[in-house]
Amino acid sequence: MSDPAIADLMVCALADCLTSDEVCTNGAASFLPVAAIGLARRTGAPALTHIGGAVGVDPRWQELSGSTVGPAYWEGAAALLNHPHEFWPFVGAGRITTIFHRAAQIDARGNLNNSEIHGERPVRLPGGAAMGDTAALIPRVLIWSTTHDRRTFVDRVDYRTCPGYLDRPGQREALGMPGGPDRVVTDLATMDFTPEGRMRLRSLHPGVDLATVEERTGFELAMPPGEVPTTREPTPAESDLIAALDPAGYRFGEFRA
Amino acid sequence: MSGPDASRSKLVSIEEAAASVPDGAVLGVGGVMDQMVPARFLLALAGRGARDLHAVTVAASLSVDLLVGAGCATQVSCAIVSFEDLGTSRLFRRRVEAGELRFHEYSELTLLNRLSAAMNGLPFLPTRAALGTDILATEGLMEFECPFTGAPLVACSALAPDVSVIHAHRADAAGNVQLDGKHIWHDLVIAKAAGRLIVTVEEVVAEAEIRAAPERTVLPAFAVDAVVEAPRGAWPTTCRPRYEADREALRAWVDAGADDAAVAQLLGRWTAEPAR
Repeated sequence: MSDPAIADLMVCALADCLTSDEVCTNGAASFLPVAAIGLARRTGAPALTHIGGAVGVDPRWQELSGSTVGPAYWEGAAALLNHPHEFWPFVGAGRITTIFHRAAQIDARGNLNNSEIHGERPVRLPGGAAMGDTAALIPRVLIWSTTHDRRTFVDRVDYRTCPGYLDRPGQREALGMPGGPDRVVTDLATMDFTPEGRMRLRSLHPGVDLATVEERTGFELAMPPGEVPTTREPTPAESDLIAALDPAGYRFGEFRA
Repeated sequence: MSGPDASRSKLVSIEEAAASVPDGAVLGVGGVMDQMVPARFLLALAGRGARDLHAVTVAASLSVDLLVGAGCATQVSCAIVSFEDLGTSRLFRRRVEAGELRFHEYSELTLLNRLSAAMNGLPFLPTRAALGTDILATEGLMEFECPFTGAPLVACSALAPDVSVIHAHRADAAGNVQLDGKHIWHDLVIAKAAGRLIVTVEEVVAEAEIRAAPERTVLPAFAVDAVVEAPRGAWPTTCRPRYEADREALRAWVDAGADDAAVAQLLGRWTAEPAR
């Protein structure tokens, strides 16, 4: 599939994760998630509550724009949340259910690194913003990645910016953290997690074979029972909605090298 | 700390305010990403050749990048440095990788808690955030056991900037500061945590104008040490509803970040020109 087709398929796969019962929010540079939220609200999850850019509650923005934590994503909101005094208390009290994260490194237990890559020539990354907070306090974490390869999908992250299922089963619970990573949507496949917190293949995108995914994953993926399903493609109506939500093509910018 | 004298004018020029920030200071900086960064003031710090600053801000794009690019900051505490769709900061990355810039990486909430503890006169504030992460190795954070429940928590020790600077819509000469629209981000925490506070404003107004709408006042005069009139002082970031981010200027900055000469040239231009 071409990058644009994969982008739309990923938007659709992320939208399929969302329900009308959730209160979701997004961080910076999160173009595929905000497109997915826009699509879900127009299709399967009309009553989904979005806190745009972690500020504007139930906004009415019509199109994607540059900063996904900027005022454009608060347009038409029913309320604006002050971060220290309103947003974080709602998060701490468990009132926000769902958050989207991406990272430079994602490991077999859903731990994320957006801080530093170790090795002969260490690399400094932009930092995790609030990932370390939201993944510890918000029960449902949806992960996306436009680079399903061994550089991104590593057995163990070099630096843990953001907690997934940590090192072993039960560790999250012992630290008092709710839920955890629930779904991973990449440019090749979708994954979920076993009850023990290990990443498991859930579906392969059309035209992608299992060997490719295994070769491009730096750890052994758990397998679903039976035959691996194929990720569904967007319907023409969904493709039209996505195009209308993002006429400027911000979602494609996530596929830059 | 005793409050500043409310009766005298706190109006100073941007150069005077920049000169009042000593080299080596821990400097709290307002703004988030491309919103409400006191950029004009940071350019004035660059103009005076400030050195060895430790910049503290929660989520940064241009704020950290300007101070790093101008050689003013050798330490940074924050949770992210990114220009989102315009790109990552190559300048920040190069300086950290070269060992020229010490980056203290926090999550948003752990850093906000450190500042909030200082703001409240507390030695620390607890959080459940960032448990299980390597962020906890950053200075000023420590896992401890809740004395009531025994549950693991993170103590975020108080971090009080020596000086903080934020941008706002208006103030009177005494230092009563107002914002238009709801205050969203961390500026007031960064402001109140600091030992000394400089506020740059779009306009200085008469006291009567402040008193006509006291519900808009977010910082009373006794909490403010210096007021600088700096129209378009947040450019090229947003100061809503007055102006939006100048994305072309930000793009030029991000693109320049690969090359020190280009950074110096752009800084020279922005410092010399009045804000657009």
